[in-house]
Amino acid sequence: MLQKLFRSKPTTKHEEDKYAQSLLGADPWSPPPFDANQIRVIVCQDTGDKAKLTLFDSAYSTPPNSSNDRDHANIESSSWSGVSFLAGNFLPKSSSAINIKSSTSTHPRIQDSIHNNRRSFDSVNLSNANTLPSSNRSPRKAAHNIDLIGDMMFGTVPLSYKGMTTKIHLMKSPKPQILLTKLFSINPSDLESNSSGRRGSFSSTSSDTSMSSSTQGSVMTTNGPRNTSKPNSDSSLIFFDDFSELNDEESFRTTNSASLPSLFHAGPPILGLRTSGASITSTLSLSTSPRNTFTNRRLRRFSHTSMENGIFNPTPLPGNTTRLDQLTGNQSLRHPPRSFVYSVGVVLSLEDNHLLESFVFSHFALLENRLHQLYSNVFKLICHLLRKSPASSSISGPNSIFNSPNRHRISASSLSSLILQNEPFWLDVVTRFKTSEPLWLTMSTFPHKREKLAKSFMSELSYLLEKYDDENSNLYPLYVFFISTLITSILMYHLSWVPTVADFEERNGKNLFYDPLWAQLGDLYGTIGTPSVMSRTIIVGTDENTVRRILFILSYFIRCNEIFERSEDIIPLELQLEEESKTSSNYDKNLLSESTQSDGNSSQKVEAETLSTQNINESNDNVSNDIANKGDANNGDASNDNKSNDNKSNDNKSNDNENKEDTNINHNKSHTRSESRHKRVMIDFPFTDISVENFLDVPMPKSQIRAMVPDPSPTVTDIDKNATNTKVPLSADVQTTTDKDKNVTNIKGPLSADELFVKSYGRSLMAGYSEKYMSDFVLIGLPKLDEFQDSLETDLKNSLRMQPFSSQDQVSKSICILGQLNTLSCSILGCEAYNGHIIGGSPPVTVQEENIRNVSGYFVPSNTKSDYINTTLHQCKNLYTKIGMPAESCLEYLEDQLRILYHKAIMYKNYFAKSSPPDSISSQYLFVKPSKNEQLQVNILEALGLHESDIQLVDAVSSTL
Amino acid sequence: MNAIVSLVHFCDADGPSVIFCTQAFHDNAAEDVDECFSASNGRSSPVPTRNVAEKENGTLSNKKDLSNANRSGPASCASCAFSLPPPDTLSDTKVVNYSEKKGFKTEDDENPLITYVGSRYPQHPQLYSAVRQACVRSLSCEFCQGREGPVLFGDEKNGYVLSYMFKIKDSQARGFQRWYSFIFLMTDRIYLVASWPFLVSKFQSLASDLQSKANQIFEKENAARESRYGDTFSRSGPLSPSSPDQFLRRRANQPLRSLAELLKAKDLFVHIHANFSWILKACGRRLQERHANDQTLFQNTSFPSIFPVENSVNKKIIFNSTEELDTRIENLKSLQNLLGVVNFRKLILNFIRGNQLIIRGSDSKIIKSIVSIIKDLVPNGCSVIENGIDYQPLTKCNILCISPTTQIPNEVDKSTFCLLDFSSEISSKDEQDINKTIKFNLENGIDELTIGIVNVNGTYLPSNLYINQLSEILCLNLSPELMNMRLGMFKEEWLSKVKQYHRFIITGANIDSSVEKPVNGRIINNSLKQKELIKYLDVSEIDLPTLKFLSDCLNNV
Repeated sequence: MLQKLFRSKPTTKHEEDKYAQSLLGADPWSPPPFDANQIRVIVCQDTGDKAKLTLFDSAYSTPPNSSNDRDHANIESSSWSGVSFLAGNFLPKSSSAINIKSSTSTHPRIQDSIHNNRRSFDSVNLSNANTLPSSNRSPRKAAHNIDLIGDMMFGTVPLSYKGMTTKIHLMKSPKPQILLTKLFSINPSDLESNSSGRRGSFSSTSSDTSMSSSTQGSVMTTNGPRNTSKPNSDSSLIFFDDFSELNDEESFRTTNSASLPSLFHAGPPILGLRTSGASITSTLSLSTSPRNTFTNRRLRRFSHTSMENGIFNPTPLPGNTTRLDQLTGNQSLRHPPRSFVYSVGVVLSLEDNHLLESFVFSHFALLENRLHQLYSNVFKLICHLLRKSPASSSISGPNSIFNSPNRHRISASSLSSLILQNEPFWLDVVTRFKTSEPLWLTMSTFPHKREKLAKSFMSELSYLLEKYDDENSNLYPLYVFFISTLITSILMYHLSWVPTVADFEERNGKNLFYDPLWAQLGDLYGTIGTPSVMSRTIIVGTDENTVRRILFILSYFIRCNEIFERSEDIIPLELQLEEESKTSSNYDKNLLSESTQSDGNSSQKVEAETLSTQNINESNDNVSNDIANKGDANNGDASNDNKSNDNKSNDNKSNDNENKEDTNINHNKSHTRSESRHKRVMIDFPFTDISVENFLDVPMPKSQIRAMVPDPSPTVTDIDKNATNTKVPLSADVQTTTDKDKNVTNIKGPLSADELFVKSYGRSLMAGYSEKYMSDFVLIGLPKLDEFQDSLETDLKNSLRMQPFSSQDQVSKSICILGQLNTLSCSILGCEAYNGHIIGGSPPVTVQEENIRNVSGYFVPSNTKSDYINTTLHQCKNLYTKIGMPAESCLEYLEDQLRILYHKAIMYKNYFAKSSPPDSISSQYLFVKPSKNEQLQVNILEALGLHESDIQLVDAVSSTL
Repeated sequence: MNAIVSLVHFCDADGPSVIFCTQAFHDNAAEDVDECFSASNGRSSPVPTRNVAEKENGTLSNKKDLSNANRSGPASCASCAFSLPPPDTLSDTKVVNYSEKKGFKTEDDENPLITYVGSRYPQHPQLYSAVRQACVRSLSCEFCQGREGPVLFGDEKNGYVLSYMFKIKDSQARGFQRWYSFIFLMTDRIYLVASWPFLVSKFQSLASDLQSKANQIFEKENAARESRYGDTFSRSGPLSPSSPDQFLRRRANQPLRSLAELLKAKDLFVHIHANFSWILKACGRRLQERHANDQTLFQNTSFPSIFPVENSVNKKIIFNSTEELDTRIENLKSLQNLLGVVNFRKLILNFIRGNQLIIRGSDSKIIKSIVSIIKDLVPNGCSVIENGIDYQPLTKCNILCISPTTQIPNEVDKSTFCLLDFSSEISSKDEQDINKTIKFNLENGIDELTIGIVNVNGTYLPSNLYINQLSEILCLNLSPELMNMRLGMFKEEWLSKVKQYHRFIITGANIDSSVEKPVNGRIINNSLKQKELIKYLDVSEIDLPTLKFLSDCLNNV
């Protein structure tokens, strides 16, 4: 049977590779070149004079492996304008201060304590010459325009504001670069780490210690004890308290012996969870109305960012960094006598790479989070150094504490190691271009690809179920339901599938101006339930092809909405009015055209365009209509509404006709409306007195729509491939119309995969199969996890602070689903914040306990599949393989079952709402079996027709309601 | 778009000053949010609730704040002035109240709920300070290469700003240049950054528009000056004052021209406001997410969702008078109570196996309610004749309601219809009885035991899955609301199976035989497959007529 099914499957290894790869990347494409030299990390201090003090510049940070390199760097750096004091000594210090152990092939990592290196400068220099690993990075030859960068970072005039400032600059010369800056100040009060106010306010993060230790202690992969011991876990335990609490040298020694990955989650003030501030979101009470999640989250975002009523609440920084909030009152705004301004910045060289530029702007949330981690480390380090300095005032000049050889060395080394550790991320985030095409998103955006993708999905699902999920199989007696378990976990945590099966009620969303990218990001991480859980998934296995297949399947269940970008141009009011004036003698031509006017020819030309464009714009009332038309009928370009509908396929005739009628009606309506409006304009223009408000009425300029990205219509090549597809591509229509309507000539062809990749998170966070771990992914395949586990844990902890992704004030839990192909096991790694607002109240804890409870890591082997999901999947498989039902039909069945599950969750929630007091419904920790009355449990299972194994899943789904 | 866009200027006399702002107002925003939050938790909305009186007046919600619009700011010199077009350019009627005009207002013709208001300052004092701060920072604090182009800056207190700086040539200005910036102020940092490419390109073209006008005027003035003074001054600059002294003297007496004067465009701010409004509008709709729904995903192949599950869930069956309660059947459960389990099962069984249901009686309330309950069990395609005058065959309708006197012809096969007869005498005495029992008679049709039985622990039980599941559900101790949900789910579960069956039937001839080779010719193969199909759908063979019937109903849609 299986052989028959996969008869066409290639047999040789090479072909199989190709096959598996083609599953995920239908349109193969190569990433734009990007290397480490295009990223530059800079840390500066404002010393008050023009020259800024550069504490770190990655352009000079290349760990040298020969004295030649060092000398070269020294020479180069001493030529810096005004900032040579640190740079001149920087590299030798850097090299002497750290022993870098290559824990991975690419990541240098601090292994030894700085203690050893501090014995003697000379001896260290000698001893270290050979201990450094050879670096494969070439010395950088960036344009060291540090003066320019310093001015951009700090501005030309110091600001009174002492909180964190975010900046973005575009550098045009010598080559296009983007500078991302975080500006922050350190006040004397920041150094008083033992002050109770500070301590209390940072309690949310001060327990990272316990988190890291407990996580490290408890995280075990199921394939036996981990080989990689954790020699540093003890020191990291001490480390985090050090920075805030301890002042002696011993503590600092320990500090630096900590493994660097841990350093990154050691949250300073900055990564503190948002604990204050006007929040309307912390309580989301029980509501059974479906779709609440979907719209509430967006409504909330809209209302948070609205300024219309004079409320002005800028969105908090990641993890809400402002110490303004955390310090009692607004002390820091009061110009403390001395505060030092620092900046961390990242320069990205664009190298005429437009994709990279788009990527930076669309993915800023991720980049910013990383920048904040960098900042937080720098902040801690500087605080520590200042604290240790007998006179902290000396930091403000070249004679600062950094000048003391010892201290200088420390700072430089620590900074460089911190930043070097951080740096691979920047490369990752920008070069992660080998991404796959997520199945769900592609299917939902490109209707013409559905049929083919549905077939692939069903084939792969059937294959995987046969192989790894077979009830009759004796091969894996311990774990026969790998796929079912995996998909159960995905459905439990990546909850964004829920809105896709819910009955969608089109809200009047036209007026909701939230950031769709933000919404998409939250959906992808599944942070839509209550409490908010951020989820990601790793499939680990050395069998690359199988891992790819699994990823392919899973990308169907991890869902998000497509984001469409409309590019439009304004049609200047003058031109519109000119056109109207032809029929209106009332119009006073002087009014708008007195000033210099462009030459008559062009204006006439545009005028003609304007005329024809109006039809387009009038019927383009909202983008979703456009898209719906395009997507479903492949004929939807609004400009073609009056064209024949011959193109429509037969099988959805009725739908199409409805659509078409709708559109026509709309079109006619709007056309009439526009005519009447024009009439009014002609008579009354230019200004209509609004009697009540005394505002002169100005008409809205018209738009000229150039393109919609992505364009859901099939390309010509798609048509050729799919001979059965009778649909005529949109682009063909466009071709025919271009002669008549000049204004649509600008419509571009469908974007290639890499262009879509940079537009939104939908395609960039599913990383496919990768040799090494990458941060911020949602779905990734890895050959093995061991060496990346530190990074993963760090990411999990950091994501607890990613407030902006969440629908609520905070992410209360961050988890990773770990599917291990080699052992066919599935488990959940996670850490959890306990200080969040829990409906119904959290139990009182002592101060000490609080530290332990604040954030804790855990590891849960998740070997329970949901019987409901298991049955559904196997039914689909059987329908496809045994009966030969069309793949789309099988998928439809799958979707039906998911929708039924969703309805069961609604009923489940209602059931408990009816049968227990409201406050007991609160904290639904997914790992703790809900502490609901057992009899109730039994009853509800019976009522819902579910098994006990389904209850966690239903519980999770109901958390989104 | 939750943003304020404004034009700011570095004035020689006043320093950074705000010239003009445009802000969007969403008329229904607050209501939407209110509705959402009151629906979800009843807590107060983050946005202050609108004043009802204002709403009733149909005016802008911010009306009361508009008084701020033209209040005098710190900078009021001519060079920073914002001006309305002069009255002489307006038609006569508009000149009335001209002095009271505060600014501009633009309706979004595609979305009547949004209004863009342009005035010198923002409408709210809090926003004024934010805009002012942004203006100062943009023009005198932030560094931008060449002092032209975009910079983004901001913090959690003052909001986030994209500033596009540019210079305008002015023959009277020091250095013949004046500094301006378009600033776009938002509270949502991430959104602002995402909008960068759009905003920069639009600001750029707007700025270069102004610049090219200024350049032309500059050239013209230059030429005029040259012709007046000859070549003498041209070397030191076409319009330069003859000495610093002269420069200062002029400045002391007379501020620089306003931008409108400088560009000789009386309607300059109309133009700017229109552009700002359009930028706000286009920026707000540039990125849109389209809600992905599995039903739209499979629209090409699937039937629209037929069962009104949500409706049945949300529908609250509430009867106001006890009278009605007595004479109407609320739901399946009360129908079962009325008929008794055996009769109920028989009635439903006949119906969902495709037999005709004939209800005879005079109490139209009862009959109507029964019909609507039973009809709900199948996709909407089942046909009903509610007030049949005479007998109609099954081919005409699935449910037939006839009067007590109507007779069913004898030649009709009695196994193809099931008669529910309420026509037995109901005395007036009974009607007044609170505990009245409705008398009925159920006859003909098929019996459960005739269609299939299954041996369970030595007991022979009827095995029609549909009926069994339905009975089990009705036995559950659930509140009416939950019962409705459960029944909705039950229907959806069956619909899902029926859809597959339906697809199997219509595509039966086309099913890819490469998957499994035909055994004994197509027909046998298909019937074998049909057996397999229902096995995989968790349906017993006894339910096949049910699937067929429901599938037909699906077809009728």
